[in-house]
Amino acid sequence: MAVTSTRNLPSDVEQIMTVARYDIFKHLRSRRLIAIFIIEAAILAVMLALPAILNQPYSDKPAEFVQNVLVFTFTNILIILAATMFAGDSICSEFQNRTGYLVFPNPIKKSSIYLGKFLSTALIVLVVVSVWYWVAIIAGYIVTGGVSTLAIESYGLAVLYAFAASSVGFLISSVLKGSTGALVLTFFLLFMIFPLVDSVGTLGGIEPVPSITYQAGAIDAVMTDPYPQNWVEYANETIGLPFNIYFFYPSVASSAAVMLGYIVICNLAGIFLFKRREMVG
Amino acid sequence: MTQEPIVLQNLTKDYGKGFRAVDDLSLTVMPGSFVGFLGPNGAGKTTTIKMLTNLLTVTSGHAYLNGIDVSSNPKGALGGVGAVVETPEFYPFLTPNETLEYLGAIRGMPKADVRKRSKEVLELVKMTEWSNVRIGKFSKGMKQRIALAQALLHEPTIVLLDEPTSGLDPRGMVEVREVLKELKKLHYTVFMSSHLLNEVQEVCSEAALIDHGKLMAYDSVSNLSTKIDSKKLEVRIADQVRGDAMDKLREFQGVRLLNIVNEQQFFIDFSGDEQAQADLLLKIQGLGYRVVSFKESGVALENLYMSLIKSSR
Repeated sequence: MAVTSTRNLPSDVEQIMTVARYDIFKHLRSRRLIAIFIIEAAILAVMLALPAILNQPYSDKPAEFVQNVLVFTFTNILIILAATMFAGDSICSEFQNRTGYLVFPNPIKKSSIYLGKFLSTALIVLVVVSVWYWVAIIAGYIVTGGVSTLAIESYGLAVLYAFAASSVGFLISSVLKGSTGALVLTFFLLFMIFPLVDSVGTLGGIEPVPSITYQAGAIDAVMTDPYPQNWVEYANETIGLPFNIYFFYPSVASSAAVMLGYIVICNLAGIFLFKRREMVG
Repeated sequence: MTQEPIVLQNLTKDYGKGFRAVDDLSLTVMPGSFVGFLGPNGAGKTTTIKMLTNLLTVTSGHAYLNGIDVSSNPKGALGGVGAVVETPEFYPFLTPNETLEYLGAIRGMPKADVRKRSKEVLELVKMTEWSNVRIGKFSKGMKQRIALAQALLHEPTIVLLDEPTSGLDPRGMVEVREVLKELKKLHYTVFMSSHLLNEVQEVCSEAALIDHGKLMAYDSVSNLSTKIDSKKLEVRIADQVRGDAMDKLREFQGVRLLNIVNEQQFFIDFSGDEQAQADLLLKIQGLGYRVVSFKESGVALENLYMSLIKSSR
């Protein structure tokens, strides 16, 4: 056997696809994917069966049917769970589990590794959200005989939200050292911290436009006809309301724009930090 | 830039709090050399290899692989390199064959080549029978052998190894050393860090000694060995050590120090060629001792290494 010279290396795009392919392989063999599908199936089964169990009629409007099945709280939790499980430790696990020692000394840019992993996570969360929506949309079609474009719009926003939440997870994963810390922070940031900030802002009469979780509200709002408008319940001492109460609803356009902003900014920052990160210890 | 496989130019790495792990290190590795990179723990060996493999950023200076600067073009520089740094972990959900397919694909190897080479390298590291078993439950030694296999998969021009036998049991160490000897036969350019002097003396053609991040010596192992003017001889006898005989032995030409370990064993620091060493054995027997064993203790590099390390502290 002779020692040969270097061969032509694949392009960055080819390497991104290779990393994505094997990362999908990882997800397919992981318990996390099975767990999230079990959770998803259980909630869908309950929500689809609930009206029948309670002897209540199903909605005859396609959008309302989907909205009733995919209660926004569940959609939100499902997306946050998926983003946490499939993005939260994607980057830091390479350092913590020392697999970086295997992959990083190869002729591949760190940005390609990052993008390949993000692509794989995006595909997995897309599948999770698609199953969630399309089961409800198809069930709605069977029951109501129609498919609403509003449900499709909601699906599009939910996919964007899943990508944006995953981007937040990737950014956290690029910063933190340990997988557990990254997973916990991703979950609590999306599930508690952002919504808490949204609530504080809303109480003060400030629409929390930059917040990803506030903008996620459009996923549900879009299925409400007519589209809900911002309004204020003004302070009224005679009815015991000491301060104004504000109700804000993000528009579809602002929601999509903010989600896209998160996807771009979080991933650019994540790539920058990942490239600078050293394999120490 | 020159086309020597590995060129380090004034390579320096500072960590926080003013700690300089590698200090203005310069050396050139010629094609086909098997260089042992020696130094005590914390000398800067792993840091150097990590800078060569772009796992750490360079503070100043340059590291070139096949003439390409690792810092400015890591993808190009690492194209012809196979590396085992520290003890890498593997994706537990993949088998050795799948791992090699993945890494081969990253390097742009056609599938048929990957399959052929996977078979060859797994055979080389004696892991063929485990090729389709998920790595998750492999022992450290098995993982280290797979790590060597992946480093050789693409027939690199340069192989970088960071203490490849570290943490292995004696059998694992012997097996990995056998693989290293095979690499030497195949004329790879190998740069291997180690703190095991016998390992370096056994498999390397050149050795670079480093301490506190500075290069102390760099030459062929044979040249470095000749710089050492004394060796340690271990003598075991079937009789009891006698004081008068020991005094006579101390007067023998070339004997610098005599250290009695127990009633039937002593060490001699001896300076002299092989003829003089043979005469010394005759002298010991002439003193009435029945010699059970008479052998060099430790390795030739050890004395040089210790004296250089001492002088740098």
